[in-house]
Order: sequence, then structure tokens, then C-alpha cells
Amino acid sequence: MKTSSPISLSIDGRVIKADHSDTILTAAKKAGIEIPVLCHDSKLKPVGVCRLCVVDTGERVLPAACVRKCENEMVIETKSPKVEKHRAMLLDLLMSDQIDPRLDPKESTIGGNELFSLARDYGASGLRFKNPELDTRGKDDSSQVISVDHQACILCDRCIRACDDIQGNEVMGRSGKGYLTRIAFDLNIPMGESTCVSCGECAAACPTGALVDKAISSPIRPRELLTSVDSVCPYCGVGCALTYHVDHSSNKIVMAEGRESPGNQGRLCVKGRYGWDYAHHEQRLKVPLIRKESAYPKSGISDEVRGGPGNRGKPGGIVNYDDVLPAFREATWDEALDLVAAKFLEIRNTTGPESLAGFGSAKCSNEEAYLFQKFVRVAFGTNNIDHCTRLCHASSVAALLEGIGSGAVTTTYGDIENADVALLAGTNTTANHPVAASFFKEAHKRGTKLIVVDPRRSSIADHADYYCRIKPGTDVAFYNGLMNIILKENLEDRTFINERTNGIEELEKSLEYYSPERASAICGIDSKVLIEISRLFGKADAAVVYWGMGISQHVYGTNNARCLISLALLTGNIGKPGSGLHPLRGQNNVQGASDAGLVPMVFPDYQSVEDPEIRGKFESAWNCKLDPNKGLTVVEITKGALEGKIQGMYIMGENPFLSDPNVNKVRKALSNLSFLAVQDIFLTETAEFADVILPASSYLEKLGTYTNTDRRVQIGRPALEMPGEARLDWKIISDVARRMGYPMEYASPEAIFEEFSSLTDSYQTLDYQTLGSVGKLWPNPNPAQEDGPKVLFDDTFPTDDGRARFVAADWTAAPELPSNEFPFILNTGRLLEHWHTGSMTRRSQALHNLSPTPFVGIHPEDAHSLGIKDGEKVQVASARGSIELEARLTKQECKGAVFVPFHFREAAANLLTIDAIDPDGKIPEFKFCAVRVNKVRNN
Amino acid sequence: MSNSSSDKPRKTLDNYRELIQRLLDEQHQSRWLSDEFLNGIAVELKVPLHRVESIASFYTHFERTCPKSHVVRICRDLSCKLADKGQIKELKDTLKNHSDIEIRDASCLGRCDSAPAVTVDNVPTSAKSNSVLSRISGSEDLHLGTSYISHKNADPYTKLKSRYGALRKALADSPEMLPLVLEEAGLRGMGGAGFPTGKKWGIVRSQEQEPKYVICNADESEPGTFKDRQILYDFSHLVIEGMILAGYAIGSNKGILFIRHEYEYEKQRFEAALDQARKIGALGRNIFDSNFSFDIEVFVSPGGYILGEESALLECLEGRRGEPRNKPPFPGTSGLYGLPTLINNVETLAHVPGIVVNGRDWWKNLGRNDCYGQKFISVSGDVEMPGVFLVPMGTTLGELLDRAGGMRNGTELIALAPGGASSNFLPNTALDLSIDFDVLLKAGSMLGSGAVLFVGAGQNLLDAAVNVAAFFRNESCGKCVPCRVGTEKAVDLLESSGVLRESKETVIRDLHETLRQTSICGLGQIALGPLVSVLDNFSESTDATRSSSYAKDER
Repeated sequence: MKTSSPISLSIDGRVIKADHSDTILTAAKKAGIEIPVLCHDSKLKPVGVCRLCVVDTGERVLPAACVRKCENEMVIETKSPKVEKHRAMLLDLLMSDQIDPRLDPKESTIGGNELFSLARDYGASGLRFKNPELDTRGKDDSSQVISVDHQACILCDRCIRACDDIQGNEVMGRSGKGYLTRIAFDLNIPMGESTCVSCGECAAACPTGALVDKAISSPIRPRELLTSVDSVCPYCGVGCALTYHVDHSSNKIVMAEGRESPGNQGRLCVKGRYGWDYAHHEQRLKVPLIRKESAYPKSGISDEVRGGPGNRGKPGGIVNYDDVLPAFREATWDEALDLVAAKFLEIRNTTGPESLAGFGSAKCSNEEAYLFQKFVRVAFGTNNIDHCTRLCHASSVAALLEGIGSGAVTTTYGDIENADVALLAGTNTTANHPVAASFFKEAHKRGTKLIVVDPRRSSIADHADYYCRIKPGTDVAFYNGLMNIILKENLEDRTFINERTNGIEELEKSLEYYSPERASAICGIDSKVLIEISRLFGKADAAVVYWGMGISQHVYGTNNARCLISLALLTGNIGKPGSGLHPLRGQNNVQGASDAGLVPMVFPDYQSVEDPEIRGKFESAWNCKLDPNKGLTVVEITKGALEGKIQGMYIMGENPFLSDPNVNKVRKALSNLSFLAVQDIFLTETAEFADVILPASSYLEKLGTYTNTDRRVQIGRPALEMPGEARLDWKIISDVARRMGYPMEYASPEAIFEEFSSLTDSYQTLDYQTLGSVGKLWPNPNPAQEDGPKVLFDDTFPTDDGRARFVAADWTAAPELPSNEFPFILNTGRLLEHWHTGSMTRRSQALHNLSPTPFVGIHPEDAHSLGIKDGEKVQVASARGSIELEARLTKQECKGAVFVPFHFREAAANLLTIDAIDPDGKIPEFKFCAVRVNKVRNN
Repeated sequence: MSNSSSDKPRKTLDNYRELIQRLLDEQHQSRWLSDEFLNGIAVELKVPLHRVESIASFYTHFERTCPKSHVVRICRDLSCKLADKGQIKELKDTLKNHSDIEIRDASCLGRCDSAPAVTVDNVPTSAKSNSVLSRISGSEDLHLGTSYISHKNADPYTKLKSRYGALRKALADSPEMLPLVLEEAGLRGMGGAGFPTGKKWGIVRSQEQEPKYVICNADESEPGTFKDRQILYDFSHLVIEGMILAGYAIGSNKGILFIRHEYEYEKQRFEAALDQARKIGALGRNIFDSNFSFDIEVFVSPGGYILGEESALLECLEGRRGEPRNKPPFPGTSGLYGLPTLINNVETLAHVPGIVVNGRDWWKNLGRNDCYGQKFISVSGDVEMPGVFLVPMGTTLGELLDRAGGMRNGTELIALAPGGASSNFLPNTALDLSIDFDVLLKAGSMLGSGAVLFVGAGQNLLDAAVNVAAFFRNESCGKCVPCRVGTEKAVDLLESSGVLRESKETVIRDLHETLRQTSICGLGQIALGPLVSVLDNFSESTDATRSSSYAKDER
């Protein structure tokens, strides 16, 4: 039926060329003819329900332009008196059920009620149809973030499609029939009690006052009274482009909106949209603090951080400053900076550069990361510099560098749209990368087969074609089993293997052991299913692998990642659209911080510190001698502090007390430091051990670039003024460096970026101007013209011989297996509403309200056998410590395993975890240790 | 035992189809759908809760709270309102004292020949309170209408043995002959639109996509219309044969009878006929030892007039809310699951075997006054013998009234609606008009599905017209703005004061024009037509048509 030749039609007397696939609305729009419409948005599938876009085609009735396809020689009137008369009537009907526009939830806040605007244009008041008796539809105020006013709803279905089709959350629908139809959540229950994940896409899509963002920190005022700042979300590695709407009169962000970008395409999740008011929190540090003499010897100050039995049964929540501030006194910047510089110099001069270490942060910008690693290498004179990448994808990066010569993703999260099959391994994507998950769900709806492998059944499994609940810690056996079958059934890509890889023989030999039956016996998945999945993956034209912490945060994390890499190589799935390897990066700038050299073994752009030629390049660029040895990693630095080898630390924006494994050990390590400077925006648990606390700038107050999981380098722009005497992080680093005799002076973050990029290949071509509003992907040979390559390595790998390398891996058991004393497996991780140690999200009102308390997830059958009811207080204990928290019964957990999120200081999951580390990636085992769960008896 | 496991793949399309079937089964078994059940089914079928809600809340057949032991449904629509001489109030007053009985006002139950129609636990019963009470105690006989159809004219077969002769004949010939024969005979769709049947079959036949479907639309739910019910009861085999012929003609192996749940007895008759057809080899694999296979599934509609709209019917079959689709595309090219689908009315299909057996000229010659064929007509209202009549096309409305025994008790005819509740009211001068698609269209109304409602003196025409508007409001699916809001506001304007002033009249006319021009489907397009026709055709009547005593009904 469809022909490719363009057709010609007349709209309002103008002859217009169009395609058969164009609707009248799109054809008119292309020709610059605007047709009013309420139920349509270019991102949504048209439904043609509001009928405002009806046009006259000379037929018996008027078709809706948003759904009607163009036909050759159509003659269309979009503004004839007949059409306009009917539009006015439709608006009159809709207006008759609206309440007073001055009280409308949208008009009275951000403004822009599309219905009212059209009604004004058409002079439609609705008064002739008004019957106050019908204004009884009611409101629903139960959501933490969105007000629902059914009276303002015109049932345009935009919210429903936003929830279903854009975010794939599938919470909203229509309930009832005819005039009594309402939008509804789940089985028509209040929004706040439904499965809604508060992403806010519905409110963003709503043209009226029916779904409106609630004010969070201060009243939402009309758009024109606010300043809009285009920036990037500060949370996860997806790096969503967004716009903050700032009320300058109160120096507060009042609202955030998704922004069009090749990555997130305007989508946001609950954290990005509603989690920014932490920056206004009253606990922001405003002046430098010096530890009082009386607060020595050092230890934690608050009950939760000090340890011991004192924190039992306390209500929890963020730290009470009345408890911790008395240990510090306010100081001037000069006094604080002088002290910091003097102490570091003293340690460097007495116990040597190797007794100093720095923790930077993946929350900071590329510029800050670059400057901080330079500071540690230059002013401290050591490579003891690391950050939370060590706790996240260090093992993935180790395996990737070894296998394909590059630690970054080979394709983007959005490239899933080109994949026939996608494997999601050990990733709770819907909670940890919600916007990436929306693209995964969308791809599934369009036909991409999803294979989800995870002992925890997170909600992405609801969208899976195959969900495999493997036994915890058996990933290697599972994937080796798949590869065994792929080889046995000749589903491997021999051409790819022969032309582009080394080491297949070794792999083949190693895989022999993993017959379907044997793999099945280890991982618990039926061998028939293993065969089905192998065939699905092996026969796919394009298959892609996304993975998360379930793969990486193990002592065999590197082996897990090696298997995924081998699986992709074996089937020729790297270097073409819809294929590749993508470790979903956790932090907003974990990719960038690593790119910038915030790691102990490499300079910026993964250039080895041990290579004399490279070192020479940096020595001349930085004008000093550099440490020729690899430095210590996060867990090793903590160990060093415990043993007295590390004496002084500078921690910028990290909170190892809560984020590192085995808190009791970390506590001792931090207490043991002779000098600790913490640079942060709040007095964190780690800062309780500090000698000096430097008040820093929040993400929302500074300019810088951030590199997301896709390798997209984007500019974050300042939206707010800093509070009190707080300073920009890069300036603080410069201030300390200058005082230590190593001046690092820059005019701006842009100048730092220039220096950084000039020392790399990957960032070489980038500058602030070409990054523009939506950033660019690296590597990018021509950033002025192109967005950058989504898919890398289409013909060669960045290894010595251009070939990838298979690295065989054998399954080994976890270091601490369940025992009679500790019969459960503990898994730790994040929640949708919270971020890492909670310092930001627990100070964001909406996020805190959505998820205020710690809990342990346990399978109902396990709970039943322990006599534990949902919501009951329980104790979870390992060989290293114990916590008390509420039990939440959920089939998300597998039997025999429990899950504790690590955001909560009052029940710190890392009191329980084991500090064993992966030999290659040096990543700790966060996903597997043995615990016991007990009911807590009152009194 | 290991708790590691893997889930079965999620198959979306099938799951939604299964969902609606499971809701129907549960409603049948438990008489209502509890939240517990709905939550469970969502998990089991892996469908979002909102999808379950959207369906469970849309269809009238589904109950969300546990009903009392007995549910008495009383039709509130036109034929039954006209027939109500106070017996409904008396019935309600009596039943009010029974705590185990729930009284519901219901949309047209398809039994306008027994008006006022009442069902007790879905069984048709006379509106007398002692009949209702004895039905509850289980003793009353079925209360079905009387058939006035002459089998001689309706059925080409006289013996069971000769049944499916048309099918045998067709199978011996090439399938493309069938659309041609029907087109030449001039058979038109009997569901309301009157689209040439042969042409429709030809369109679906020419589609390349497969599989294709044949759907028999037995969801007649318009006040005044009940002929399909009678055809299904009396002539199931003809409908089945028509469906098989359609399948053969278009190249489909799958037929679906979409039947309203109120037609339980007709469904049973139809299913018995299906079994017979299968037994004699007329249905199933290799029909009459040919290469052609075809089978028919019966799908019970979960309720609602809108499902008679063919694209709403398809949405329902796909497990969604029965909301009409924007057209084009039409079902013939993109129907069930986007595949070519032939949807014909019960009567249309029932006429096909006769035409195939007797030839196109036979059908043409059945008509009178230059009209082709014959038509089943539902007659209701103030007549002596309401029921289904088979008349030649071209028969005048006056002759039809005579066949129905004339006006009840000799009352004067003041108005008639020739095509069910959706057709415009005509004055009594219309008795001279022929029963024919084009004639009635020219006269400012329509033949529609062939449901003639006669209104006698003493009835308030404005009441009748508002009743019709309220029916469309009640049955509006709510998808598009004009119909959802417009029908509500129109009824509200008339209900709220009861007096039709000049200004209101203008508003109603404007509203009608907007609904007619901008609604997605026929329901909205004609919803206010009958109301406006009363204003147009009866403007000189007395004050009786200027004020309405119409009272709000339960929705």
C-alpha cells in the first residue's frame, strides 16, 4: 500500500509535499501551519481523543489531524469557520468542568495550562454548560511529589502514555466508562499507595492542572519569574540532561524538568526530578571547622558512628548537628587552609609521600577530579589516589582493559533499540539507572528480547523474556554454561573469532568442564533454559550486554566480567549497532573521574604511571618529579591507615565510613590517621573523624564537565549561590596546593579542562564550546559536526595487535559461605530513591519521605520460618558486626538471601560486609557474606 | 530444594486476550471480581494492574463488589420506558423490602418485545412482581418473546439433511465467486450501516496479510433492536453457514461469534448448532472433505452497547477497553491484531446461504417497490404485537404496523423511529415510506439495524428523546471529548430544569453538530440526533414536547 514517492496535498490553500507516513498534523507542522491539539505530543503515539485538531478534508465528518495519515491530493482546511466553531465548542465542553482558573493547580504554580491558553484564544468559558453539581471528581494528595486533581483532568491520556510508553512504569490507566472515566493508578488506588515510582513523567506530560509537581523547598512560581539553568543530573551515570528552574529571590531551585538530549531524551527519574533540595538544606557547611582539642583522641562523635551499643533503638535519620558540632570550632579559611597545608607537609617530610593518600569523588567534575589527582601526585608526591570507582566497576574495567584494551563502554544504553537480544546481568536497572531502564523496557516492547540474570528479582524482570534467578555468586558457571552450549551448537561467530581475537583455544578448553548439566547444578537454572538462552543469544544478529554491581562487586568480579566479554566476543557482538559491552556506571562522573586519572595506577586517559615515557610527559607538563610506582587502592589505603602506613588523608566528597566494607575496620582506620582533612558539603560520618573540615560547593553551585556511562561529556552549570563562606572545590584544592608550595592556578574550570584534555587522546578534541547544550561522546574526531561514535571498535581494538583477547575464568565459591551460625547470604545495594551514603538524598525532602527508613528484604518463607512478620524489627548480624532494622517481606529476594540497602547510617549495611577484595580489580565483596537474622525482642 | 528458577517468556498479546477471558470466567463463577482476584491475575498473567483495572471497570458485566444474592435488572431504555405504565415503580416498591435482592437500572437488555424488560439473575422475567419473586424461588418459566417469522421465507432449507447446501455448492466453486454473487445480489450490511456486503468481502479477500478473521457481530444492544437475538435462536445454522462461507471467500480459517452476555439462551442454541455442524463435517478440519478448514469460537461480550461498534469490538477481543479506533484503517485491512478482519452482522450472514442457494435474482426479487431483498425488523413500542418480522424490502411502515397488530388499544400514532434509538424520529406521515436504506435516509432518518419503534399518543416525545440521549450518554465509552462530555452536558441541560427554552435549544443543536462532526465513532456522531429530530419534526406540537419530566436514572 505504502509508496515511497512523496505525495502532494493542499493545506489551507498551500500545496505541500508529504510522505504517506505523515499525519496531517506533522505535515502541517513541517509547513509551519500550527493546528491546536491537547492530547498529542510529538514523543507520544497519537490517540486522537481530544478532537481539537480536527480538520476539514471535505469528508462526511472531520478527522483528527494527529491520527489521520496524509493522502495524495487531499484538500485540507485547518482554520475554516466550521472547524473553528467546533473547536470552540469542544473547549467550551472541557472548560465547563474546570474549576476557577485562578485556583488551577498549574496556573497557580508554574503556569502553562495548555487548555486554558487555548480556551482564552477561542473565548471558551464553559459557563453555559457549567453545573457545579458535576464538579465532584475529587483530588488525590497521597503522592509525595505530585498533586492529582481529577476535576482538572481532560482524559487526554498523555500521562498514561508517558507512564506506559515513555517510562515503561505501567502504573496509570483509565478507570470507569463514559463521563465517569478517570485516570487511575493500579486498581484505582491513591497514587501514593500505588506502584508509582514517582518519576514525574506524567506531570511533565500533563497539559492541565490534573497532575502537577508539588512544591518541595519553596513555592513553585510562574515560569517567567524563574531563571532556567540547563544542566545535568547529579546522580547516576545515565547523566540525564535537565533544566533547573531557579527562584533567585530565595536562591532556591523550585522545579526540574527533563531536557532533550540524545541520551535521556527528556526523561528523568525521581531523584533527578525531585532530589535537588539537599543543596538548600540547613545542615550545609558554611564555614571551615577545626577539631577542638577536647575532641581528641579521635573517634566517631555521633552514636551511630562511634559504634558500640549506644545506637540501638534510636529513631534514625540524618545526623543531629547538636551532637557533632560541639567537637569542632569555626575557623577562618586562612587558618584552616594553613593548618591543612602544614600538616600534609609535615607528614610528607617525616614519614614520606607514601604515607599520604587522597580520596577524590566520582560526584565531582572532570576538572575537580583532574586537579585533585594532580594535587595528590604533585603536592603529596604519591599515586595513593583513588575514589569510589574502586567500589563499583573496578573489576569490570580491569577485565575490559585486559580483554579489549579499553575500560569504557563500547556502546550506549540507547543502542539497545538496535539489539535483537539484550542481556541484563546483575543490574537492578529500574532502581539504579531508571532512565536507562526506560529505554530497555521500550526496546522490549518493540521486540528486543530481554534476558535478565540476577538472584534478586528486581522489577526489570517484569519485562524480561527470560528471567534467571541464579544462585548468588554463580555467574561464572552460568555464563560458562552458555558459552559451552554456544560452542557445542556451533553458534559462535568463527569469522569474528579468527579475524579479531586471540586466545579462543584456551577458552574452549576451559569451557569443556561447563556442560549444561554441570553449569545447571552450580547456578540452579534448568539446563533446558540454559540451552534456550544460548540459542537466543547465539542466533541473534545483534546482542548487547549491560551489567551492574551484581557482576562487579565480588571478589571474583573480574572473572564475572571476563565471562561477559568472552560471551560477546564469541558471538561477534562488539562493534556493530545493537551489540557490545556496557557496564552501567553508577555515579554521574565515575567514567570521567577515571578518565581524569583519579585512580592509583594511571594518569589521565589510562596512561600508566609506571611507563617512563608517559611519566616524562606528565612531569614536564606538571613541572615536577612524579612517583614511578602504582599507588594504593581504596581498601588498601584503609588497610594502610589501620596499620599506620598511611598517616594523612585528604578526602574530597567521599564518605568511606559508610561506603566501604567492614565499617568497624574503617572506623579504626580513620581514628588512626594522624591528620584527616575532609572537604564536603555536609558534616558526613567520615568528617566526624576529621581534623579540619572544609565547606565545599554542591554540584548545583558549580561549573564543570561530567562524563556519563555512555562516554557523553556534558556541562553542568551553576544554578545556585553557595551558602556562607563555602568555596568552589577546585579553588580549595588550588588554595591548599599553593600553601604547600605547588601553585596550581587556573582562571576557570574551562582552563583546567583545557589542560586535562591536552594531555589525553580521548578528550583532545573537546572544549566547552563544542560540548554545547547536550555534550559530546568521546572519542570524537569531529565534535563540531558530530555527536560522536555510539559504537566503538568496529574494525579494531585498542590493544597492541588490535585484537581482543579471550580470558578464561573458572567458577570459585564466595569467600564466606553461609554456616550454621550465619545461615543467610547478605546482598547490599541501592534503592531507587536514595543515593549511596544518603548525604544528599536523605536531605532531599521528597526522597526522604518516599523512603525514610532502613530495612532488610527477606523472602516471606524465610521470614515465616523465623517467625518474623512484615515491618517487624530484626537484628542482622555477621561475624563483623550487627544492625537492627525493620524486616520487609518480599519475593524479590531469593530464599536463603537477604538484602540491605547501604544508605542508612543508623543501620549501616557495611557494618556487616566483608573486606575481602578481588585480586585484579581490588573491588570489595559487597554482594556476598554470611549473616544471621533474628527477631528483636522488645526490652 | 533449590529456589533458583527461570520465568517463562512474557507474551503480551496472548496475555491480554487471556486476561479478559479469565475475568469473564471469574465473573461467571463468583458473580464478582474481588481486588484479591484482580491482583492475583495481574501477577499470574504478568500484566500491569492498571490494565486489569481499565478492563474490570469498563465493562458493565463485571462487578467489583459482591452483589446481594439476587440481582434484578430493569431496563431503563426507550421501548421499556414507553411500555412502563407504572408497573416498574410497583415492582421496585415490592422488591425494596427484600434485603437479599439488589435492584439495578440497566441499559437495553435486548428484549424490547417483552417490554418493560426485566431479568432476575440474568434470566428474562416478566415485570410483574409475583413473577420476579417466583423466579427468585426458581419456579417461573423463561420469559422469551414470541416469534412472528415465517420460516418459509427465512430459511432456504426445509430439511436438516439439506442444510449447508450453499456451503457444498460454494466449495465446488472458486472462492472469489462469493463476493461477486453477493455484490450482484445487492446484499447490504444489516447491522446499521448498509455497506455492500460483497464489496466488503472483496476488500478483505484482496488483503495479503494472514491470518484473517471472520467475526459475527452479535452484540446488538440498541434500544428497540432484538432481531439478531431471534435469528440466533431460530436460525443458528444459517449464521454458522454464513460465517463459513465468509471464511471460504476471504481465505480465513477462524471465525468468532461475538455475542452479548445477555443472550445466554441464544448462545446455547448457537453452540448446539456448532456441535451439529461439526458432526456433519460442515465445520472444522477439511470441511466436507475439501482442503478448506474453518472453525468458530464463541466469545461472550463483557457488556456495553459500544462493543457493537466494530473497532470497539476488536479492542475488546484484544483484551482492552472497548473504545473505538480512529479510522482509517478499517477492520477489513487492519482488524483483529492488525490483521484483515471481516466483521458482519448476524442477519447479514444469515441471508448469505439463501442467496448462494437460490441465486442473486431470487434475492433481488424478494424486494418490492424497486428495493432488493428482505429484512428482519424488530418492532416495539406502543403496538399490539411487538416482535421480530421478516418483510420484503420496500414494505411500507404502515404495512409493518398492520402486521404488528396496529397500535395498542387503538391509540393514535404520533411518531416513529424506523432504525432503533439512534434513528431520528419521524412524524406519523412516515407510514407511507418504504422500508429501505435510501428511502429512509432521504426522509431524514435511517433504516439502521431495522428496529421500528412506534410511539402512541399520550407519550411525552421530549421525554423519549432525552431518554435516548441519556442512553448514549450511559453507553459512551468516554474516549473522545465530544461524546464523553457532550452527551453528559446535553442530558444535564435538559434534566436540570426540565424546560427546553429557546437558548437551550440552540445550544443543543450546536452541540449536536459538534458531536456529529468530531466524534470518533457513530455513537457520538448520532447521540443527539434523535433529540434534535424531535425539535425539528415536532416543533408545532403542544407544550408536551417543550417540557420534560425526565428524571435522573441510576447509571
